[in-house]
Amino acid sequence: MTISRRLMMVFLIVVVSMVTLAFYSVNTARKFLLDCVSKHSIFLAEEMMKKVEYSINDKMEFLQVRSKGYLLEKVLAESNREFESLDNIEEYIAQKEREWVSAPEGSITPFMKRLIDNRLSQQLRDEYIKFWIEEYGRVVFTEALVTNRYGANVAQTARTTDYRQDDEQWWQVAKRDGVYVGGVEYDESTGNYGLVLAQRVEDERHNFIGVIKAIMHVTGIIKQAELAAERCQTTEIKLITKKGQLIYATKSFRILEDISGKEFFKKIKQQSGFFISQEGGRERIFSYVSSRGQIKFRGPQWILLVSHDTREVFNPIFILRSHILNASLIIIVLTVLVTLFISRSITMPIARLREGAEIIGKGNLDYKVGTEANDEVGQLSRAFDRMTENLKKVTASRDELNKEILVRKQAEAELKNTYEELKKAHRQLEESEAQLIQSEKMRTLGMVTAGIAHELNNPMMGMLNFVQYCIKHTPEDDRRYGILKDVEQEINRCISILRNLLTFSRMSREGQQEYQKESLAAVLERTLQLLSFRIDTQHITVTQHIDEETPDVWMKVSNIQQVFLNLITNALDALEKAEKKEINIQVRPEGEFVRTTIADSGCGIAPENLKKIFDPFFTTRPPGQSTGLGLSICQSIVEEHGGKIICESEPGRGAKFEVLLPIKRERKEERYEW
Amino acid sequence: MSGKRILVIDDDEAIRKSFALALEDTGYQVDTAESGEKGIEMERKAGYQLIFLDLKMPGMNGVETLREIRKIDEVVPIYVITAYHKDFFDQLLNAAEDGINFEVLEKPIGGEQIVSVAKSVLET
Repeated sequence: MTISRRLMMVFLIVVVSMVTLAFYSVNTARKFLLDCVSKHSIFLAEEMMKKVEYSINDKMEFLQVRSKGYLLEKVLAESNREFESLDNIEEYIAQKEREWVSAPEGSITPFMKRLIDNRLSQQLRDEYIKFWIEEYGRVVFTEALVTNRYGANVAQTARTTDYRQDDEQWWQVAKRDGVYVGGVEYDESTGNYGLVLAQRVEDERHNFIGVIKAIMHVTGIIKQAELAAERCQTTEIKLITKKGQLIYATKSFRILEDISGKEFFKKIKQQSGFFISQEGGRERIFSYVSSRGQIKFRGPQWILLVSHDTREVFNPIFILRSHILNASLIIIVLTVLVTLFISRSITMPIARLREGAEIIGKGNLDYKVGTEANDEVGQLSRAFDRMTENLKKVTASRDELNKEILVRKQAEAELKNTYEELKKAHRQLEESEAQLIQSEKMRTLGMVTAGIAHELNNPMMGMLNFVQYCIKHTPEDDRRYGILKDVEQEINRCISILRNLLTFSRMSREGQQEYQKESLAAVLERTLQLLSFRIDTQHITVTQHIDEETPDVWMKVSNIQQVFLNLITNALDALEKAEKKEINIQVRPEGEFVRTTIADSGCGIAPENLKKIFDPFFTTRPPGQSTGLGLSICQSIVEEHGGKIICESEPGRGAKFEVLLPIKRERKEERYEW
Repeated sequence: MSGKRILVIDDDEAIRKSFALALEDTGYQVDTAESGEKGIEMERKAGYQLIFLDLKMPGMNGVETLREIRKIDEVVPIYVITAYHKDFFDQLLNAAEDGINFEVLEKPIGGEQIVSVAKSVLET
């Protein structure tokens, strides 16, 4: 990953983190705001509810105070006494009730009129209706009514629907408990909905003497409370009964409308709380509080709902969110641009550095990156240039060193060559010396031998002839004849030895035989014929492999024949006691030479003897059986021909003699000069 | 058979005697000379039908003697007998080139060979 991408990633991670944090903050703020608004609304609802309850309580106290009035007690006492004097109170009340209800609607019967227009009724109107209007400028009570202890109307501010009230809940509760705060009812006489309040009336001795009922103007009370509360633009206030009947709403509403099926009503569960719910396709925050009632009365069993449109409440959050969104976009774009700028400012010098490194890597040590920048990359570039400079120096000295190493290596190689040549020359010198010594030895030996042989020749010839003379003149049956024959034989042996010695010593100077072209195969054939008697009697297998391409060789035929004779005779000697009796002869051309190999399967030659076999007089046979000159003579003959004779052998594996003869005659300087 | 005469020129008595003994029963007359000079003298005086001549001799050597005898007699068969004629090889070659006839016999020579040589020369 390139540096610019890494930078970009780092910056983007930071920015994204910041944006995420911002949105998290916004969400948290939203939650807090919701909490805050809801709580505020609950508080508002509570305050309003308190005001409502207080207002009701206030009116209840008003009712209590008014239940102790002189006129009221006096009127009620008279009415009660009047009823008690009746024969049948129940019948009377029922009679009057029937008359009351049967009277046409809106009409006032004289009996009714007497009840509405009496002094107590006048007082009721003054105290309950006129007083509040005059004093506070608003309607508080819409109707007031007083019954005697039997539930019959005694005084009233306007016509009521019934005459008897003892069957009404408010009357019974008030009589029993002393106080009644009722539900919301429609008051036909005023055409208003109102809250029914009732108060038990007692005399000084706390005897029940009647009930006062007053209907409070509900809307008025709530509006009073509502006015005091702070409100938002979309704030709505609803007052509902616990059964879901709508009593009041800030928007236009139908009184006692059943809203128990609405979503928000179902979410009301506790004494107070808040929730978010849909209403009219809008999301709203609802805060609610239920009336707790007062010590003196149970309370109206109402729920006050305050709701706000979430859009209004969360508007600041929405605005903040959109601002953050815009800011984030701008920051991200700016970040990308800044990152690109920074990464370029970092990577450009690095790229130049890399380029420089590549150029230098290719061997151009004169290249300079060169930079004015003072940052880390600039420092690196300068360090790089310094390194290149040093490298240049080092490379120069290294090159010189390499050159010197090369020169020294050449010198070493030359020295080694010279040494090898010297060694070779030394070896050749040693060989020549050995040869020289050998040839000197041979020369001396030859001279001595020749001298001895020559000197012995004449006596031998004499002896031979003398003994032959004696043999000739001795009868064959004479015992001396045999002895003389033995002498002749011994002399002949001596002559044979002398001949060998002379052949050895005068090999090169016998002028009687000329070089001629002859087939080696033919010479070998003749030699084998000469030895055929021995080969047959010894039961020896002779195998020959003669290459057809073998050319004739320039040679002194009888000498070469003597060589083969010697070698094959030696082989036959070696095979005398061998189990496997084979002689293998091979002839094949080899460049300018012909190689003749004579191998036997005999006892072989001991390694310590292998070097000495060509020495004159060397023999392993018992004295008298061999002169030890055979192989010396062979070597002399072959070398005289410009060839070479080699022996290879391992004890027990037989011996192999190889005779290399040049095909063309070589004008070779004669080795033995005597 | 008789009347044929052979001269043996050799400084070694054993050789001279060997020839004499070997040819004893052949009927040929064998004369011997112990030096070249004497041999020449004898050839000059008597003339022989066959001469065996040693090469290595004190005084006149065989080749010199050969040349001298050839001056006396151009046709008499002369067998040069030697064990070892390297020293005289060139001289012999020269003599041969000069048209001097001779044969070579290699020492040591046995009685039978001596007789057969003598007979082959003298009986044909």
